[in-house]
Amino acid sequence: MNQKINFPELIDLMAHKQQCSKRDAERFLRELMAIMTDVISEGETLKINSLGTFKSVWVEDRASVNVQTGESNIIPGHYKLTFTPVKQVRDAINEPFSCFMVEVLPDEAPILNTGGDVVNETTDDASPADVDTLQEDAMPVVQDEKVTDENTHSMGDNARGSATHERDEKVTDENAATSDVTGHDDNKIVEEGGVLQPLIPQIDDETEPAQPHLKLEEDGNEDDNANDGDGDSEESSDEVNEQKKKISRTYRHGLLTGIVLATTVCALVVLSFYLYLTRYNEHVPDDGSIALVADTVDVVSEQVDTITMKQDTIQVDSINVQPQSVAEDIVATVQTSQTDTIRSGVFLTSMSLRHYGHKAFWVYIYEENKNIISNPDLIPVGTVVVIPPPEKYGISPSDTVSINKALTIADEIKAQQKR
Amino acid sequence: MEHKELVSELQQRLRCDKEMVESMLENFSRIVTERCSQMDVIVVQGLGTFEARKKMERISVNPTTGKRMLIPPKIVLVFKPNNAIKSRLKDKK
Repeated sequence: MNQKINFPELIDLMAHKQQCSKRDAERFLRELMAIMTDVISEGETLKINSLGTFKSVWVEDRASVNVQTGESNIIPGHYKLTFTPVKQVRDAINEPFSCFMVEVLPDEAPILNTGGDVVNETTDDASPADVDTLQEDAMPVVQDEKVTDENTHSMGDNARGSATHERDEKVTDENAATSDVTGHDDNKIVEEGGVLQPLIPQIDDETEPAQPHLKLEEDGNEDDNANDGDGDSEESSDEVNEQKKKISRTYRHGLLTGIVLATTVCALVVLSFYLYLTRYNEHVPDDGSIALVADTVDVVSEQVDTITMKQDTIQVDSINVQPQSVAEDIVATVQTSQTDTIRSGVFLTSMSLRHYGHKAFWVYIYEENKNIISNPDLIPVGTVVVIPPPEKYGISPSDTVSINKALTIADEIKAQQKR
Repeated sequence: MEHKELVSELQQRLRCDKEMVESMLENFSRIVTERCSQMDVIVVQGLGTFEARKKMERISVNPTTGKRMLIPPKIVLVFKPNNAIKSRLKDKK
């Protein structure tokens, strides 16, 4: 390795190789070198079949610059010796790098630093062949990951669903509580003002829807609002007391005016709170907020979720399709994709029938929403799914090829689900 | 000077048969390639040196088509004549 072989060593090697005496080897080499020197010096071409060609070539005059003085000078034309090894020798010498091939670069590829190392080169060479196999190998793994993703997603959905359920229960509880209260009051009213029985149902109708709202809003509002709410409730309770007194005195007019007053006050309070809530909806996203606000916030977050889901699916799909058209795809799908909600009695097939005109295309809805649907046969009610635009998967209900393609995909999905 | 001429010249000088000269030439070439592929340098006094040189990868452009090609790195066998031969060649007109 990297050692210098002098003439004596060369003679040794030669003798060993040729199985002859060192003297013969030396004689031969000396004569050979003498002839070579003579021939080359004369500018003649020397060809040795097993080694290569020595040839002197004419180099034209060329302008050059003296590095030290900076003066430009002309190097006069002269002969130069070139040596071209024969193919066998060339290949034998280049054996360690024989795996490389000349590659045509694409026009848009940036000019890289040509001083790149060998490892880079090998990876570049290997990439076109390896990428396919890599993709093939990676596919099942990716699907597995997707499955787990779906599971986690569905778990998250369930959790959210339960959360909303809890909220709903809260709401109903509160409603029940308020209705109990109001019912009690009404009973009192009925007991105390027995004469006014025909009037009371009407009042109930008016007060009952109003009071739960009031209750809810009072519970959910933040501290600065709570003061107002408390004041209002005190006012209303004062009004109720007044009502009681008036009823006990059985003053018809007083009762009527009192109830009317109470209802108007309640209506005003509800109206003001409603306006307040609608105006400052974004400022009340507290955990302890009322179900009304929570519901709206939930709706908003669901929308956000669907948007992110859209983006996820788009990214997955576009990675599979073409990296260049990612942006276009995103724009297209965001603009054209719709959403639909799973209800009881609504299946992916019925959605497909409604949106695309044929039930076989449910597979594409499933593909689009793989991350939120773990099992296409068992989708939780209320799941918001993205309906991809028909162009994305080449959906056309009149084309049998398209339908058959969808059916084969459906078979694959079913086979996967069975596993 | 062609190969045949070289062989006959050597034959004359060494006064041995053609096959012998051929095999010796072959073996000489083999030694050069073997040694140079191990990155050794063969120095012959009065003639020059045989050595293997690494060439970096480079981008070359086909002037007619304008296509750019990546020429891979390679190891080539080079022969450097000694100064006496070089200067004699240079002076030759």
